[in-house]
Amino acid sequence: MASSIENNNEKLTLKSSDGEEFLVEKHVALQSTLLQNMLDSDCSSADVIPLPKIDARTLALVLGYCKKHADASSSKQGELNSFDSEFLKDMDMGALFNLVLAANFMEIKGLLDIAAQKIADTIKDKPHQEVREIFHVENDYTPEEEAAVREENRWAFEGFP
Amino acid sequence: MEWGRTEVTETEQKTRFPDVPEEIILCILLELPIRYLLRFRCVSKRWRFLISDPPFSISVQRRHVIIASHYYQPEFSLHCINDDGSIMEIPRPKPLQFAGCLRIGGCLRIGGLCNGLVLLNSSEDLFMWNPFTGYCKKVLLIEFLKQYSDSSIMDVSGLCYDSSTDDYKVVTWVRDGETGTACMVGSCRTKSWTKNCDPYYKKIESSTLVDEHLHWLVTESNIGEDPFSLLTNLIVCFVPQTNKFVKVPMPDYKVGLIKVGLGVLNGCLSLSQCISKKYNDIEVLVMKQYGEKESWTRLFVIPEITLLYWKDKLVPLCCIKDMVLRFRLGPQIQAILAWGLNKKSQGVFPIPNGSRYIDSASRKYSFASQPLQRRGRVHGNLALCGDKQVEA
Repeated sequence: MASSIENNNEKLTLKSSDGEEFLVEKHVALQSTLLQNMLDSDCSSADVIPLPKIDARTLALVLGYCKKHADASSSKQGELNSFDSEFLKDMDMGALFNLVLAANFMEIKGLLDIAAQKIADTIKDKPHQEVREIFHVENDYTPEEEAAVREENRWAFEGFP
Repeated sequence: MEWGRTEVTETEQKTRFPDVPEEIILCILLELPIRYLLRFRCVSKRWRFLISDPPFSISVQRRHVIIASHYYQPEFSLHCINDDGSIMEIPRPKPLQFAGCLRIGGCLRIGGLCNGLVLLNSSEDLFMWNPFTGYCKKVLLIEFLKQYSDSSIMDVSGLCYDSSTDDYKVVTWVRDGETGTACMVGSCRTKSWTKNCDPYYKKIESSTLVDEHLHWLVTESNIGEDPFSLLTNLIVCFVPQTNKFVKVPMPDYKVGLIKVGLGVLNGCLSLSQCISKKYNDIEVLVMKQYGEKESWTRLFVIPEITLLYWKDKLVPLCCIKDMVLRFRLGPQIQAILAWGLNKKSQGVFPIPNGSRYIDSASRKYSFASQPLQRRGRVHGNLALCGDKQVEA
């Protein structure tokens, strides 16, 4: 903790894909392994760090998550857990996808895990045809092949089209 | 930004959702219960490949508890407890649905679990079954044992995997001569049995698998007849790489403590014991560093288990959101006891098939099939077992 308090005054600037700049305390940015590695490899904190794959709306969410976790680290886990579930509660699929991509890019493991879990919860009751649409997967089965795969796993399809 | 709550047309979805790389798709699949995963094999050939999971990357983080009646009966059923605590019936393996496979009065028991594969012991054959993919195959014939022993098999006590030879091994006990017993180890790869002398036999119950080794709580040498005796004082393990039995370090012995179960919690070997005078406070320990005596640590104590009869076994079964422990062989009790770590309270899962005798086991989910089959190797004895091979 001592080191993060020491660094509390240091700030760095992150720039989203749509050009918005975010001033971030360093200990918050350190939640991201990507940013941590950049800082360790001597990037000056005065520089603006561009994040070309992340839009402003998503970046704001990511930084909200990081701030909560940076400030709360070593404090109550239960509080963080309820923050996490509240954080994702009403988020739509599009935002979730952007978030999971950003977490992956910025290497924020906790966020990646909860966002992936949330997406899994959202898609698990959807028919596989809809899952195909969501992930833009092209159906490369012939109808016969698909029927065969379905038959192999017939019990899992009870109640599904 | 509110569109996610309303009806979304497919075209909107297509333009809206970004493409995600496969590494993220894998992260998402990892979080799905296996039943949903199986359905998503229909999404595409690539997804089917991902969800067949040859390197176990999806399998490894999953755990389930299978509950089966101890013996075959008309209403024989199989259930599993999911990670979220819900109970689900799973279909029976195909070959066992044919009456011809089970003689009247024949019994069907779970002989062991390993890598998500269940070893089923019907009266004459051993089957390997993956309940989540339907894979089922006869792997060993008990008849072969008669070359070594004139008497029938007594107990199929475990299934383990030897990664050094990519072989699944079955440990069984047979009668040997007038009074003795012997341990027979069957190799699913070579279809052969090897005889081991067995210094520890005392009606050994089903085993616990940790680190590829099978473990039993036993009575040293041949003292006493009671499998739950106060002298149940030793953990032994079978090492598949060497085909040998070795002793496992135990926590320090304290007078009056009875060991009532051996299981696995969070990947560690776990022991439950109670104080002989009361029988109703259960202490649960884990061996945090495998093989190190000093690492035995008390995890928690469950006070006042009023259900407990002193011959019941109480086996640490698994952690889901709460702690789940299993009872076996309770004359009155047909349930799984759950202990809530946070609320410090008990709950009881009724056993859905209402069986008085249950077998249950906790292992990881997987999509494994037997390596022999997967790699397509042909062995001399395979033809003998080939007549009833069924793969769903």
